[in-house]
Amino acid sequence: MTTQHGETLPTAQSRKPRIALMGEFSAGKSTLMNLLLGCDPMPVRITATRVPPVWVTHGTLGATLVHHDGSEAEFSGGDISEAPIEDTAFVRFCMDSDILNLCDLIDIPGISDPNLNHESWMALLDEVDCVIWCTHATQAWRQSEAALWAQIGEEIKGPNHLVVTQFDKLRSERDRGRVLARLEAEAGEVFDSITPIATLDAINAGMDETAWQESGGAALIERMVGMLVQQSETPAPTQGKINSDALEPQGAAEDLSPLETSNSVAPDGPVSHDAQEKKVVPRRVRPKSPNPTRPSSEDLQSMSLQTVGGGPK
Amino acid sequence: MNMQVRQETKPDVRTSRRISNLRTGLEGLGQLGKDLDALERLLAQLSQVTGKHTAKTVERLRKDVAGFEPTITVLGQVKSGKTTLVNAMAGWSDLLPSDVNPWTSVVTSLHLKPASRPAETGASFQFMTEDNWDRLLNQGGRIGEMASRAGAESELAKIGEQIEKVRAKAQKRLGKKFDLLLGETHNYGYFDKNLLERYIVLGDDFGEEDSEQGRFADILSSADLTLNCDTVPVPLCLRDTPGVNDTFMMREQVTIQALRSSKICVVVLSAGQALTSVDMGLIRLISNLKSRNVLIFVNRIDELPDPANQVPEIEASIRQTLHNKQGPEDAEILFGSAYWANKALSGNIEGMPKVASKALFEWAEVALEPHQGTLGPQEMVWELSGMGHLYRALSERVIEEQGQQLLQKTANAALTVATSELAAGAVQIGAKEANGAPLSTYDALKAFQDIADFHQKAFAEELDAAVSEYHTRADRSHAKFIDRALRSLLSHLENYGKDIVWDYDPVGLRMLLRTAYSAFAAKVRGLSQARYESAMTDVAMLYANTFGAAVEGIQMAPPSLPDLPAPIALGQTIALDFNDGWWISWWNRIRGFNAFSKRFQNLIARETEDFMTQSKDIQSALVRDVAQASLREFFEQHSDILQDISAAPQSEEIESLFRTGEEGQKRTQLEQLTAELEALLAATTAQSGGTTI
Repeated sequence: MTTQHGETLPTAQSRKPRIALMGEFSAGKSTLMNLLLGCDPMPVRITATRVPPVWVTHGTLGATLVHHDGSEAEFSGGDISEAPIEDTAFVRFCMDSDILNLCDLIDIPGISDPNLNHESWMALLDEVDCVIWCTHATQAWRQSEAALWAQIGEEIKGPNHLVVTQFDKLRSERDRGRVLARLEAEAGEVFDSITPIATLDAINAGMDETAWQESGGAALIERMVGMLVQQSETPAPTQGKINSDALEPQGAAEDLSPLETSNSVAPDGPVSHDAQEKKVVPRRVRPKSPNPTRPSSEDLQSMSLQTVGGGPK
Repeated sequence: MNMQVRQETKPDVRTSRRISNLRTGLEGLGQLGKDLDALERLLAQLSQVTGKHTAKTVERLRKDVAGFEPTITVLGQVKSGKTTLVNAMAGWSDLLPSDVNPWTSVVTSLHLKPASRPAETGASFQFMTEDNWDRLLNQGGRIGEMASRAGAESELAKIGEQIEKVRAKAQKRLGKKFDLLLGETHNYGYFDKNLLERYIVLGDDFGEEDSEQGRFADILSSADLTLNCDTVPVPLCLRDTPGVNDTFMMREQVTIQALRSSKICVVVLSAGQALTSVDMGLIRLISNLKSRNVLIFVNRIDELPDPANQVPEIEASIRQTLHNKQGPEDAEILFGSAYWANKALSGNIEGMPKVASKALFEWAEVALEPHQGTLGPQEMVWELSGMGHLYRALSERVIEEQGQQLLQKTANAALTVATSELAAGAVQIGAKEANGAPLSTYDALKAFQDIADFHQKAFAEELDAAVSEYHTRADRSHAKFIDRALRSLLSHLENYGKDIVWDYDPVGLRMLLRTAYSAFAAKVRGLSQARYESAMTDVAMLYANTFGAAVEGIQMAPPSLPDLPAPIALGQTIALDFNDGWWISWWNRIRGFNAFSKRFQNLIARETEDFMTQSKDIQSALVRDVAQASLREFFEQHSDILQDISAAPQSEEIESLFRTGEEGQKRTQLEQLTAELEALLAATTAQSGGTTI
């Protein structure tokens, strides 16, 4: 467990952005989480997985149960899905993954599970900066989702994104267009973006850049980076620290870069070297031209995004 | 004769010829269909030989048989595949229009007519009345139920807004026609895709504008389509409903209102997300049904990456949830894919996406019996789609709940008519020899009236007592519930304070009331049975006293008590059911510890007032009506028989009739009818293995 971020909840001044994954149960949150992490610590099942919120943060592999009263206990079971749901406010899960250099990810239990009262994790939302709301393409954005979002959406400063998972389950171009048009009309106002993703295709894309693009994975990562950029641009005294600690040595930026560079244009326009002083942003979104002074993504051994479609360099 | 060809279109289901196993699962209904046909034939013959008064009874019986049409309502969340399933069940893959966005906005009833009773194909669209609008806005469904209470603002306002918007839009589009259309019915002697899209599809504003599509859908209250379908052996009505949990909440209103008259429901879930709290809410809404009559169909298994292992997992999870949440634990859970079924129906099984065909192969390995390996590819896909299992489960329920009952009741009544007709003949013939019965006809009729009055009055008193006992018990349950809820609230406040929202499941109140109702229903059944039997004995005695040994042959059955109305009101949603949304805002607005209990008590009292009235007064009145109607009908029938016997021609005439053989012929015919009805009844009783009430 690293010392920079870890044992206790970091205070607002010194912390990385926290992105929560939310949605109905079985909407593909955990799958998406695994995609982002580049490995699969989250249990994925067809039925509702009854696990307390899992707060994933960078550090040495290990899990801690944080109770409602604030006390903590080491969780030695290897399988997070066996974490006791009673009395656990959330599970802090530390691991090494590139994206965790940039942010914390929080997997919030799915709503609409009749066996789970979502009161238990409502308090945790106060700690969250942004939300990625997962909605299943074939039954996208139902009243139960809209109602909950209406309750909590305003409290979360965002940016918040709606991700339409399993988009490949819609069987024609026309169908896909129609679903997106409806989502735009019904949820466009309350989310900063709507991104479709064929989750499994994205995971299976591997080094296939075209497949990665087509799956929507590339666009999603781009959005996330955009989100993190905005986060880091918000005035926070220790932003610089995040950069140096999290990004300089590990080259997470490089891992993300192939995804980004395929677009070669960052959300806030093309950027070049002069932006390097300007924290995280520029490096991650630098133009595609390979930079010989930096290690290429192939050189990096981490089990990060490249394994889930980092794309060829 | 069995297929009607119409000029404009040919809506009759024709795909059936291509797949040989479309009738799998419907075998039971096949037998019921044969029995009903036989019964209908016997009734037709009977009507030729009955007396003037009893003819009425026979006509009524014939109408009952002709009108037999069990209804199956298909419910589910938005986009769970209800319409696709209904199409598959009707055996016509693109009958009702569907889309990737919520599409259905009207309750559509498909009346499937079997080959043995073809009907005119056609469509009938009923527009909303002014009352319907008002009800939608002010009284019915969730809106009305929540309107008078605190805190429902946001959701309520949203529905209200949506409804007003729809209305304004329709008004603008239709201009003056709008007012003229309200309350109207449009009938067509055909239907096709265009017509359906125009009427029943509301569509959306997101795609391309299509002027004709959905022209009337927003102001339609119901649609009825009649078509001939040679796979179904008895008439069947399939009802497709708009999905619940739609952000366009008006659609949900439409469905909730349609639920009240459903006897058999199929709740469609999506395999990818089985049994959410919304589905539980839906199941609770239909909790007035016997749990056996709630079928859970887990659709879209074609989307599962690993159906062989995931299907058992999903089933276990659903069972567990039903158990945890006091749902209908013994509800049957079926798995299948309406998508596959429609692929098989359209003969296009090749064009499936990879996932769906992979799932199909994997599912085939676990789901197909070895002997089914010889099926053709289309048949195999149909088998795997689960339609056969769904049909079988539905058939069983239709037969048990409605078919057997109708057969037995009707055959019994017909038997009474036939045998009394025989007796009437015997009275006429025997009158001369017996030389004066103990009672004159006039006296007999008067005595009969006395018996009828006596029993009806006594029965009314007995029912009064039962109702008042039920009321006492229901009120006690209500008080107990409020008390318990209040204590739970206080202990919650003590332990957690106000920060954590308290919720209290009203399932307890429902269970208490349901138990009270069951006890009441059992009591009424007992009372009815005793009363009916003693009424029958008295009438039988009167027959014997009046007409002597001649009437010995009359086969009398006591009236049977029809199914008592289900406690529908118990399914009605009350404020406590909604522990997200407005409940939380209500909770958050209440300040101060003491305020809680007082306001809570008020809320609960207000909340449950209508609920209690519905389940107490209205429900018991319904039960009463049903029980009394049976007795009244029984007396009417025998009054008719009595008059027929009394009004018999003079014995001299009879003798001449007898000699000419007319009467003899009639007797032979009646004897034969009696024997056939007895045989039918015996067979039915054997099948059902004793009646179930």
